[in-house]
Amino acid sequence: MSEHRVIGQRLPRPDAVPRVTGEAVYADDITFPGMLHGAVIRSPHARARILRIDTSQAEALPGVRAVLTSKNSALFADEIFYPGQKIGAVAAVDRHTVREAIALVQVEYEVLPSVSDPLLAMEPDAPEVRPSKRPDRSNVCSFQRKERGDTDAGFARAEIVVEQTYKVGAAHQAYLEPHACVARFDNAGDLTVWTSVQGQFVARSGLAQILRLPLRSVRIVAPEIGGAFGGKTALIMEPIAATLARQTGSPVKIVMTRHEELADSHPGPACIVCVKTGALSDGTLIAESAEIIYDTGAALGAPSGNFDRTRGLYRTPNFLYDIYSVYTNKLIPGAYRAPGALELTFAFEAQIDELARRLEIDPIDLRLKNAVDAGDLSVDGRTYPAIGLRESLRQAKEYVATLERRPGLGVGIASGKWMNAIGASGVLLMLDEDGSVNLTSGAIDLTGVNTALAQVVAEELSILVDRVHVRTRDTDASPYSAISGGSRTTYGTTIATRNALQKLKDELLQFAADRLSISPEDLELSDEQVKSRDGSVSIPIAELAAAAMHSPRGPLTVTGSVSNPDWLADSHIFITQVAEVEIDPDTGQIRVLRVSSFQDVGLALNPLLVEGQIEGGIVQGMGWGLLEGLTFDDGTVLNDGLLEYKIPTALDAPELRPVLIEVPSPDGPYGIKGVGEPSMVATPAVLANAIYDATGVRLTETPLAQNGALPR
Amino acid sequence: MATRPRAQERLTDSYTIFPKKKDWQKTLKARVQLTVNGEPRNLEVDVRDSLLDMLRDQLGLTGTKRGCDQGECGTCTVLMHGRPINACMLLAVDGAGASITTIEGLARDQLNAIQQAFVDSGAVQCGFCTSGMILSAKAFIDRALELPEQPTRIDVRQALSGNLCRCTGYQKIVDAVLSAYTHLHREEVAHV
Repeated sequence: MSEHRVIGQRLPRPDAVPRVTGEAVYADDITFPGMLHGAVIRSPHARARILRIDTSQAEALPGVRAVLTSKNSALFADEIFYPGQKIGAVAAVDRHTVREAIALVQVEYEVLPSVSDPLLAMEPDAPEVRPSKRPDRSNVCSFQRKERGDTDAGFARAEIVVEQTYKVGAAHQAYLEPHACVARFDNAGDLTVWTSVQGQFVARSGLAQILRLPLRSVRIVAPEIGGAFGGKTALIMEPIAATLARQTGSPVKIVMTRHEELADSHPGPACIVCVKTGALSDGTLIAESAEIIYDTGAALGAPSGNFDRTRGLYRTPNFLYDIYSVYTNKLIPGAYRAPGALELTFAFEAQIDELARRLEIDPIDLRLKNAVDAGDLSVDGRTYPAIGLRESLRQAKEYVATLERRPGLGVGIASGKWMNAIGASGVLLMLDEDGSVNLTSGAIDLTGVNTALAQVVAEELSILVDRVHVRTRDTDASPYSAISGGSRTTYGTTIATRNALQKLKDELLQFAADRLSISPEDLELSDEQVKSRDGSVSIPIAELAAAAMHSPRGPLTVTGSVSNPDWLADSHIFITQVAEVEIDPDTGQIRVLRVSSFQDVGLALNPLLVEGQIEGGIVQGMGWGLLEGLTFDDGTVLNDGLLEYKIPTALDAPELRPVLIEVPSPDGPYGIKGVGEPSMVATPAVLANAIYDATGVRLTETPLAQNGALPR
Repeated sequence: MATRPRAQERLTDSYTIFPKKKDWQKTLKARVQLTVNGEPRNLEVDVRDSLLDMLRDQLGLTGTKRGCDQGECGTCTVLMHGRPINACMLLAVDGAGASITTIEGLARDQLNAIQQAFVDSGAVQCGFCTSGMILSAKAFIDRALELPEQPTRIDVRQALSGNLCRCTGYQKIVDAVLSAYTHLHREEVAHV
């Protein structure tokens, strides 16, 4: 039985209420009198130089208020690196006029040679996207090597070697709310931007730098955010909207179209993994080598630095991994939920499955034989504390044993790993005169973190959870917070909140002790009161809060902070997934019936919300693995709408079984671990392994399905 | 030079460019009478505006969301004579005479059963699909209550398949719709 009273409860999010009534305000819902609409002009070419831009017709169109290009704004350049690159912007009185004006801009280009395939881009004679970081290969943006032991000697000892190339296509986060922002300058020259971002303070410093404004002159207000998944970490339209607002003297709104989202935002990258795995005939892993090539598009964006966060599941004594990111003339990828993890897991977990099949060992047993545990080392040499990999495998094994096997049904297994971050966050905690608590955070609430924080406050102060009001406020009103990403938000802000709560408790008990003339050590918090441990006296917290306000002590207001310069926490999240799929023998149609996810969550502050994260992650992973993938023609995104870029619907989604395993993390408050990202890392792998189980066909490229069926 | 459509054309081709006339702004206006959330409305609209533009920009009913503006995502779902439609796919002028229900028209003094079930089941995450999802669910449940059989999970999934959700994986949304159906069915039986 849990020793907690509020923590661990399945509490619905209080902020769900304004979302079901339509009252919740998102960036595109904000308007001002006289507000203009902005939109950008884009290059159709992958690599080009602008020779001439004629904006005169656009400027002459009634209703157009400003046209920006490289001629009058440093935001735009004449050199083009990918199709869809922004080359200018227009502000006009309404959406129709702004689009009309864009079509009137005449641009003359000198088209230059381009390259869109990362393997071709690495060839010596490939067109140069940007200067290579490696002498031996063109267009290398970054290179890392991870090495342990003697890989050649390991392979020499191996009794079986499996070698395969896997390809994962670029996938879009496809948050349903497109990027939207409104920028407004006041008469004093201060800028306010309402925008859908994962990190408002990062947006503030970025904007201040780009616009050459003092930090104090920029305020970011983050309204509700309609999904992000890593795709709303960068400034995209905000500097343009702000520049148009400055130029016109009017507020300017820019909302990206769905075409623009798919053609020029920051999706998860395409990745090629050539991997060779060697084992002894009893299944003991002995050596592994891999060359990993991320397609990073026209600038550094691919998350090639997360290898240790996501590998290191098995005790492989000898390994050599070379990790490249390569420039191409394509859009610039970015973070997508556990960036870097899904594509690697897809490759490495297929290798394990293939080894198990060839050795005729149960895939779970093969994993259990090699699985890391407390005391083992990660790829980068971190020593694992107690971890949940073996427990997740054991529970998956028990579950698989209960499944009734039949022809056409495939059961797949895959495991995965992720590490969450901590980052910097502050909170402001105020005890009001009625005994209710006001917690102000600067962290964007993507996942229900504010609900979890209310539970933490209620738990620690022994008050009812509906007496706690947690709000994310703007950059002028709230303490600093790093971006909400890296599965850090609940982890980091809970540490900050507990630090604040400790101060508040100390001050509250001291204030009560002074009034009662007893020692604070003899007092405790219970049932919304401060009570003496012997039960002889008690004062309601509300009474103390009100009394403090009108005493020399003053209002009970405290802050709490956390930071971790190393970014990552000592929090190693392992999961094992089991997928049940059915293949129609005639049509090859792939139906995913059920996905079970055995995920170590450390401790679930709110199981309802934790399950929601896991369920959503599974279906996103399924989308990336089975259905989704940006397709390109000379670097131009072809499937730039949600009909052509199909994400799972309610009919595609399987039944979901999130199973929570709780192995506490050493540095997480209450032992919690990050939840949001790890949920999706293993899903493409588990689906490919299940399809193999059903058909004997090893699919090595995503999307696994073509029009919902096995590729022919 | 390749002749296939390239990025710029495809980024702008969903917007019709009108011929330019001196009095262009006047010629693009029309009057529309319709009922929104039970209230009769008589509005002057830009003939290029969709029903979604009209609801959001002129009536301030911003609970109806714009996720794609091309009929693919379902975030702009409203009820027209009780049936779900994509408000982005109907010109405002074609809404003349219609009776429209938006998310703002559901809750009066308290949440209705579907809204409450979405909150309680954890079916709401970012909230951007929620308005459209609830309206599709309402149309489905209203219909299901008239049928003798209990709806199945597949029935619910079918009914919601025009409303994309990227956060929840749909599991708790299906739970919420069935829970709301059960609640309303019980109420209906109690009334009979």
